[in-house]
Amino acid sequence: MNCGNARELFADYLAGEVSPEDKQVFAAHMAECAGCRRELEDLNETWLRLGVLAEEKPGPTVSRRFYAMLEDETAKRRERARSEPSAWLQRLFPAWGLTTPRLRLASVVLMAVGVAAGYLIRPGSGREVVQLRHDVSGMRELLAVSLLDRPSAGDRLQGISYSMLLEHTDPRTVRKLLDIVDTDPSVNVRLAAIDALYLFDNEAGVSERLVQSLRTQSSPMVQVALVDLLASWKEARAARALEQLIAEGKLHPAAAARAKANLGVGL
Amino acid sequence: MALLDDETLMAQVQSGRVEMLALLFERHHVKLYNFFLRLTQDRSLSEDLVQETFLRILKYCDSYRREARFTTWMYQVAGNLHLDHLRKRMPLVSLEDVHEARLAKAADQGSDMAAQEEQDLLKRAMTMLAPRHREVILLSRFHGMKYAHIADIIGCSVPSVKVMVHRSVAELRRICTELSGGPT
Repeated sequence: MNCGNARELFADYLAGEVSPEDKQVFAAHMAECAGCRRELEDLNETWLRLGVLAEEKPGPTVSRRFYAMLEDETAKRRERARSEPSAWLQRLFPAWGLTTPRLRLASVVLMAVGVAAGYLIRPGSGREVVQLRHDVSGMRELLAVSLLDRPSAGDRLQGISYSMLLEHTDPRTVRKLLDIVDTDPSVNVRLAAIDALYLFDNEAGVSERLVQSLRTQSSPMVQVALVDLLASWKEARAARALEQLIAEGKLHPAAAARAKANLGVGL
Repeated sequence: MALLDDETLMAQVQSGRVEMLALLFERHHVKLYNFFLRLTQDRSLSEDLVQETFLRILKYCDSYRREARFTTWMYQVAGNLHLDHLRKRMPLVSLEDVHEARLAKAADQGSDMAAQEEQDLLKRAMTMLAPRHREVILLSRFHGMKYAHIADIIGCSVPSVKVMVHRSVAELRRICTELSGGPT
């Protein structure tokens, strides 16, 4: 190995990446060439000196600004998705685009019931209309609950859209939505479930469950959405619970600020 | 439960689950902050650049190709941002500022003075390297990246990276010697 070949390996030496097959000849050259040896020692000394530069932690504003940006971006995307033509189509026909054949079949049956209703609705056929409406509503509940259990986040979002179309409150669906808020791995699905729960404020135990959930949520976006939901119901119990969570320091700074703002205007 | 790797998380961000970016942020923002801090010697600017990097990752997530390592792409975005910053000439911290900060800290820290001076000297010397050379040293020495990975990030061959490392460490040594009043 000559000096040129040896110098090509200096960078590898610094990073500890000299290959086993080069190691011996490299060491032999260093032992016999004082010039290369001195240069390598100098480089190595500087390389090691760099180790005194300790890693620093950024200030808390980095995380705060990142999460605010993420929240902002999520809100923009949801708004965009709402205004897209395909989203309107999906809202009109929530079963549109289901990925599972079983669920697609259920949506077709639901549509068929609707078409049948069109034929049967005539003056004087009030009882059939009531019966059909009941059937359609039952199908919707069934579809919503089955979608809410799907492993795909897209299907669960679809199920949440369905639950918002129910004509009367189905306790199973409410329970499922509350479970989703507590445990769903997707922040987007949890946020959609919170949106859906705006329709179920008069259900017993819902606000207590949400206050409980607020204690365990790690996502600032979900915390803020829960605070807004509880505040919109203007319940004294919810206000007291929020005050307590602020006092205990259980809320993310963004959620605590939102809660204080809501409490300030008389929750 | 096995942790999802960076590339899988990024694929989920691409498919619309933007909240998964939070996991990538938590994994990498401290390293990224230190990358910028050692390039710019400016904490506030480094925080801005971290924020801007993640904003660009989100904005241009469609341009990420899954077969590439996420960190390769992230440091490409970060490196380009730093170069943009230099072009716009938001001024880097001046050597005078570094010197003043060093004096101020030294006055405060009595027994830690020698260690602090050594750190300041190295930081100051780093700011005097060419930006690309600084990046290469940071990625290799502080981020422990292999030369092949660095070559992907800065878009050149592995032998070129090795030449850059060799030259920039030699240059750093020369600058340190000059700054500490040694022979020129």
